[in-house]
Amino acid sequence: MTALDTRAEKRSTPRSRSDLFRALKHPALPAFVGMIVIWLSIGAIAGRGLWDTLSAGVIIATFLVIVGIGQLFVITVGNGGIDLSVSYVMTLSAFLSCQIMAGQDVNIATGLIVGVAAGIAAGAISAALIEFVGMPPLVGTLAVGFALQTVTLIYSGSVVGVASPGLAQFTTAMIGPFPVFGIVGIVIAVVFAIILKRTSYGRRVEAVGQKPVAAGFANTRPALIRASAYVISGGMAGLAGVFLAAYSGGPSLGLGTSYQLASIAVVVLGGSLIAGGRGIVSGLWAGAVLLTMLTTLANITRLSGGWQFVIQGALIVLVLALTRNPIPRR
Amino acid sequence: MTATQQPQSTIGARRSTRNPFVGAFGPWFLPTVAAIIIFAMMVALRPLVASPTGINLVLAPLIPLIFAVLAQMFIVAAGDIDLGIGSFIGLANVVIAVILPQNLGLGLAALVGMVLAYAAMGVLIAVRGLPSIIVTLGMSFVWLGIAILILPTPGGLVPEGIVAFVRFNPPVVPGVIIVLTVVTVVVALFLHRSKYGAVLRGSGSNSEGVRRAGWSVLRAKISLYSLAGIFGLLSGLYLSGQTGGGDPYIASSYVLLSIAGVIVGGGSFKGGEVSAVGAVAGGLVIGLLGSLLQFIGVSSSFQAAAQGLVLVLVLVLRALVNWIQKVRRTR
Repeated sequence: MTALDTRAEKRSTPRSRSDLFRALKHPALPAFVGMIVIWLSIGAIAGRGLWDTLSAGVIIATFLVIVGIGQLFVITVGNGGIDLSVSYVMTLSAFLSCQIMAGQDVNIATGLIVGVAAGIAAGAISAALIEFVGMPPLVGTLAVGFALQTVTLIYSGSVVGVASPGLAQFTTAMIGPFPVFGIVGIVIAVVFAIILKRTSYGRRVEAVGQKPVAAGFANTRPALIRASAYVISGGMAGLAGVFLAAYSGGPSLGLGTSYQLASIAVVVLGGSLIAGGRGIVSGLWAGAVLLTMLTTLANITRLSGGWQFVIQGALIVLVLALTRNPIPRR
Repeated sequence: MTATQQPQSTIGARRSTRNPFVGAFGPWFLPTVAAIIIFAMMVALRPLVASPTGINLVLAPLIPLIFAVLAQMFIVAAGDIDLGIGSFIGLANVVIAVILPQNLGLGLAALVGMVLAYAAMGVLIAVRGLPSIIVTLGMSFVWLGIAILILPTPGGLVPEGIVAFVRFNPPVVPGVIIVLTVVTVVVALFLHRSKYGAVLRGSGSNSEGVRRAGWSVLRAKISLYSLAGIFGLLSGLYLSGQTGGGDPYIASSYVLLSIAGVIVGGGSFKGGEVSAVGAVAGGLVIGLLGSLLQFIGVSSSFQAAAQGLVLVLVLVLRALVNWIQKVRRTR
């Protein structure tokens, strides 16, 4: 722990000359550059107001930011960590919360709590399968995901929930020129960046991802830290599901589908190490806005759905192939 | 995994030779028994299943799945996992149903290109040390996207010759039995009895050993990914012949089912530890289980969960067995 801490401090203390150089080498930079390029090209092609494009993009990206942060924690704890259940968790939480809210503003808090709790429960089951039974993360989360899909399929047949209008307004509200929900997304990203980089827990998350054995000697229980990441991921996916259902007027069975790959893509785009050990929340935020605006751009240019899949898939593989190999780090 | 564990593993090997049960029955034994039991249950429910027509009707839809399981088995043998096999089979199906009838040369070139792309994916994963899960997941969207570009809505028409080939059914022995036997024997002999088969399995479990023995690990990876691509194509071929049309999403459920088939069939994620006979039997178990549930009248929405549950159960049981063995060994 101590070695890691000093390294992190060294990185964050300002050094006069190498500051600019360091900013240029920051792993989140490509995501921000890509985001700005796509933002400007939308403005150029569509001739739409740049501010409107950005604020709309930031609102829609917030759902992805929330899911992506959960995914980032799971990937950062390493050990092949990946959460393939997020899309199913989102859909289930969307149905649950909308049934509880039933179109009433009084029930917002209960709906939010139940939606997030369902996600946390799902994450806890995944964590148990992975850390105590010893399943590979891929299989454990996928199995939980399919179980949730079946539950949702059966459960959704009997209920028609409506999101509360208050929450729906919250997701689209503007204070002056600023989108409220977009700012919520930025605040959430900042909070989790602080948790990851400045709290003892967050340092443990990265330490476990870098070298579980060393982290174990440094008074950390790797299995417990890894398990907590799956719980966070489940909870965040649940939260995103509740918001997304409110934003889109109600739950649907395909609600979370597109967020599965996208949640992994934003982690990769943001410069986090896919093998674990280094999570970058700011890059994730930029990556989420980038992906969202990429979809907008594809829609403006009337690109078919097939191309959008190809571009998203190829982007992940390309970014992975081009990023510096994490193995010879020390 | 080296010097310190050497004595332990030799003790384990000596023990397993002393125990004739473990020695005679490889990892393929349990799944084969399970497949037979499930089939027997189906026959008990509907005696007509045992007739040649019945066997054909029950097993034919499982043939594409079994090819998909074998494709996944090659990737698992390399120590990787393939999340893109479902979309890849869907793309193969679309190419066979749309491009092949219009332009034979272009269609064949596209199919060969797909196998080459799979091999290239293996190179990328091996050379850059990338996690196979994320690369194949990303590529699955590329396959799916291309398939949707070729065929936005289900349609197309599979050439008559392919349909006839796939539905080939001689009078005495059901065609599916012939296909299953031939494929199982060929793959099993290659993987478990040939020299290069041992190299391929070794590249997944002990790549350093394979490298020191003078074999190229990279080339082994390319071979395994190419084989997976070829078996993915075969799966798509059989799906096309059976459905007669194209659909990009046709095999999307195969991702989980193929992984489940390999694991139920005695494979392990550690790489190298796979069994061809086991994989075929595992595919049969997973597939027949779906049919059995249908026979009992379980709604199709439960089937995915049930098949996933079997996978979880097998892994839990295996973890339990490992744990018991460990406890015994330390005593």
